[in-house]
Amino acid sequence: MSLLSVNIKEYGYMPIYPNIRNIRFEVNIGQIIAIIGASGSGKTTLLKLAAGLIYPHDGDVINHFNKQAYLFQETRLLPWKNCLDNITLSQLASKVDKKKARQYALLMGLNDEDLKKYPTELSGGMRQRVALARAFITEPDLLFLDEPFGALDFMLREEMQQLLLGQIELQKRAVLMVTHDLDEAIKLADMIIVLGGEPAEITKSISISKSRETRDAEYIFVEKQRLMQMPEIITSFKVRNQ
Amino acid sequence: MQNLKQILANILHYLWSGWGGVASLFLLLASWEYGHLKMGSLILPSPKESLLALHIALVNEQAFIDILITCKRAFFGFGAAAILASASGILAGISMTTSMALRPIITFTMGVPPIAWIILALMWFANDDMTAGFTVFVVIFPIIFASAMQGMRMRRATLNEMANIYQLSLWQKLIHLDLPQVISYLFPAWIVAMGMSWKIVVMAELLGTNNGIGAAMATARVNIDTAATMAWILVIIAMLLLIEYLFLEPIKRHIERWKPR
Repeated sequence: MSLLSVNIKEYGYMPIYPNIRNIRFEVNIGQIIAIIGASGSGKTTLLKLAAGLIYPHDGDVINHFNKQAYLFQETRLLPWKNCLDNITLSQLASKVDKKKARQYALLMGLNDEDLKKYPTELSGGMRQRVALARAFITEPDLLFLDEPFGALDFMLREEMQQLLLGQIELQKRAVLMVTHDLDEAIKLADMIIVLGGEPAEITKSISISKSRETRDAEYIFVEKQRLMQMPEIITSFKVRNQ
Repeated sequence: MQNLKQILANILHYLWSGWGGVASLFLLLASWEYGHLKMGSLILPSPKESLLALHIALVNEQAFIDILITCKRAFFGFGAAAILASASGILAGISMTTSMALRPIITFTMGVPPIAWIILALMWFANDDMTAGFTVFVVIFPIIFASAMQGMRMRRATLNEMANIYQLSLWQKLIHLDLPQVISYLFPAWIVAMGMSWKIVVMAELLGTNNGIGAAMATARVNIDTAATMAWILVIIAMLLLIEYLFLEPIKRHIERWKPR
């Protein structure tokens, strides 16, 4: 039995005009699944449906994971709370533990000085670290990622991915992520789902069996070239770009 | 200790920032003096004459009683409206339907001129305090209510989504997410309403009561005592300045300290 099963027959922002149709996939413990597609193809909408933030008109999403966290494209920190209080916000539903919040903040590369500051006083990368700490402190077993590092430069992005991977490996977390970056998908995912067409459907699923630690730069490069030859990937990225 | 130092430094900084305001006040006094030189004492008494009249009025203890009575009426009218209108506006703003349904009623009540409410209140209530307090209440209620409702409608849905992921309760969302956003709308409304409540109390007193600043101004009018009128105007302005800059503004600064300056 899988822990998250997504089965969406139809969803649209306006009911008569579906954006997403006939999508089925499953996520299990410790699995990383990447959804790729051109911008505007419905990736974020699909992620929100899977996380239960919105509901399909027809179909269902069954989630047996205990705790979930979601990293949005923007950090969505509360500007009126300092960083420490922003991190502990995710604990409000259970029990606020400032000591633990400090530990996680340290792990994400924040110091005590940073924790006293308001989000507007921090750089984009630092804000993203706060958002990461806020997500991980709840110890989620399922993580939704909506291109959280899209706005960061590539060095910082690399570092953030390492932080993320460290946390995922440590706790055997399952991840459902959205990206338009093939490199990122090949580097992290066990399975890649390609979204294309209008309304969006799954045009291709690609499993990657090679273990994550052994995926070096060369492997990623070769694999990317191979994927970019696939007709499904070419068309799904072309639909909107014409 | 560190915090105390910080607070003291902030207070000093705040007082120091008042110099700009003081300068423009003196400019206003200068043009007042100029107007007096041009038009004479009957039309516009000089600031000095007005201050003298104020001194004479304040020697009499009846003046303090009048000021206190007016303060009390404005305070209760404003306080009741601020609490009830903020709370009910926030509740109404939660749902799109109630906001849409209540909008015409707000427009309607805001359209009734304060003077009409005063006439009605005079006929409805025998009590002086009720007449003035009620008029303040009905005039400023819709202003604060509309701001609170609008503030709730303008909340960022993205933050709510984030809170849903972490399973915050409705109450927690109200405290941590909604109120800090609404307060940015409420504060300007409170300040406007506070100013209006003073004007309305004085107007209601002038028309229909036997005591308070408005009644004192009515007496000054009967005696064609322009200097006394100006003196009372000074009292009203001074009260308003005190309340706004010593009370509301510091609170606002404290609440909105996260906003980049």
